[in-house]
Amino acid sequence: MVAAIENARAAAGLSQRALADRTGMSQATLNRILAGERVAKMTEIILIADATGCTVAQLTGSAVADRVQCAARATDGASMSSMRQRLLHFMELDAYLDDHAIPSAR
Amino acid sequence: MTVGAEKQASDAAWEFRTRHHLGVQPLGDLVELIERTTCADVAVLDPDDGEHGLTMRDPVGGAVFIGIARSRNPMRQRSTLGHELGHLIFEDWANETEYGARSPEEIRADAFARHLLIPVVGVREFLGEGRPATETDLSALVQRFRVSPQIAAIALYDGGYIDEDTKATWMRCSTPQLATRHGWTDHYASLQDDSDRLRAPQSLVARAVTGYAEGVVTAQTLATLRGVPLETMLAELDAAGVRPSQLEPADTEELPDLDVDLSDLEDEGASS
Repeated sequence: MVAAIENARAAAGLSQRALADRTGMSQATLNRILAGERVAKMTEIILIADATGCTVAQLTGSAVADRVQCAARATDGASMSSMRQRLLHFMELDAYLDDHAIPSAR
Repeated sequence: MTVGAEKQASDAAWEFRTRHHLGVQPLGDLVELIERTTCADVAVLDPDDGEHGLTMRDPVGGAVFIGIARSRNPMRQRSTLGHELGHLIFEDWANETEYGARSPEEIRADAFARHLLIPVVGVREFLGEGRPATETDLSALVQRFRVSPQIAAIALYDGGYIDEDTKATWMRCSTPQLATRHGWTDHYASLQDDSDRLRAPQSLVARAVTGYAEGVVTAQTLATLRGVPLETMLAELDAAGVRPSQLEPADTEELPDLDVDLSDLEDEGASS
C-alpha cells in the first residue's frame, strides 16, 4: 500500500507537504505512513484518495490489480513498476466508472 | 527468429493495414490510430528509465490500456507503439512477465512493428524498382516512414535494394546523423517535441469528464489523470462549460405523507 500511496502522490504532482495540507493530516503522520512505520487507517486512506484523485481501491489493492494481464517492452532490467502503477490507476478508474454506470466514450 | 514467426508478423501487419484501409502509405499519429482501430486506450507517460511500453488488459471487463514512455527518440517510440500493438493483435497475455526477456513473443512483436511501419511494398512504391539504393534513399525513407535507420535498412535489404554488408553499415547510422547530413534537422526536432509530450488516455478522459459532470468523480481525479495541476484542470472545465450537475431537491408537496410512530422516543415520566 505504501508504494500505491507514494505513486498516487507523485501522479497528482503533490509534495508530501502539499498532500499533508490537502488531507489535513500532520506531516509526521504522513511521513510515518509513507515510511511503512504505521499502517494508514481507512479514514486516512479515503482522505488521501480524495486529495490525489485516486480511487480507494487503487490504494488498498483490489481484484482488478490481481487479475490484470500484461505484455511489456523494457530494457536494462527495468521493473516496469512505475508504468504498471499508472496503468493500474487507469484500470481502477475505468472499473469505478463502470460501477457508477458512466457510459463508455466509444 | 524462425521463418514462421517472421511470416506471421508480416501477414498480421499487412492484414491490419488492409482491414483499416491504410494502403502502403506512412502511418501518421500511431496513438490516434491504435485508439481508433482497437479497443485499447493509449497513454504517453513519464516512467522510470528503461520502461518503454506496457500493455495491460482486464480479462473480466475487457479494458485494455497501453502505456508508452515519452521520449526524445521519436523513431524508437513509434517502434514501441507498433510493438505493443503487435502484442495486442497476437494476444500475448501473461499473468507473470519477465520484463525485457527476449521471448519468441517479443521478437515477433518487434517484427510486426517493422512490417507495419515500413512495408516492403511501400518502399517499392516510393523508390521504384531496378536500382540499388543510396544513403539519400535511406534518409528519405527514415524521414518519410518515421522509422529508425535500422528498420529502414532491413526493409531495403528485404526489398533487394542493398546487400548484407550495406545493411550492416547502415544499421549503425543514427537518425540525427542522417537528418544533419540530409538537411531535415528542423523536421526531426519537431518530431522530437511531439514524442516528448505527455498524453492521457483519450477515451478514459472523455468518460471521466462525463463522470465529473454527473458528480461521480472530482476535478482532482481529472487533474491526476491528465497530469496537470488542479487549477489548470478547473480552468479548462470552466472554459468548456463543464460543471457538476446539482441535484435539485424534490418538491416536498409531492412527497407522500409518512406515518411514523415516535411514541418510543417520548420521556416515559412525561407520558405517564
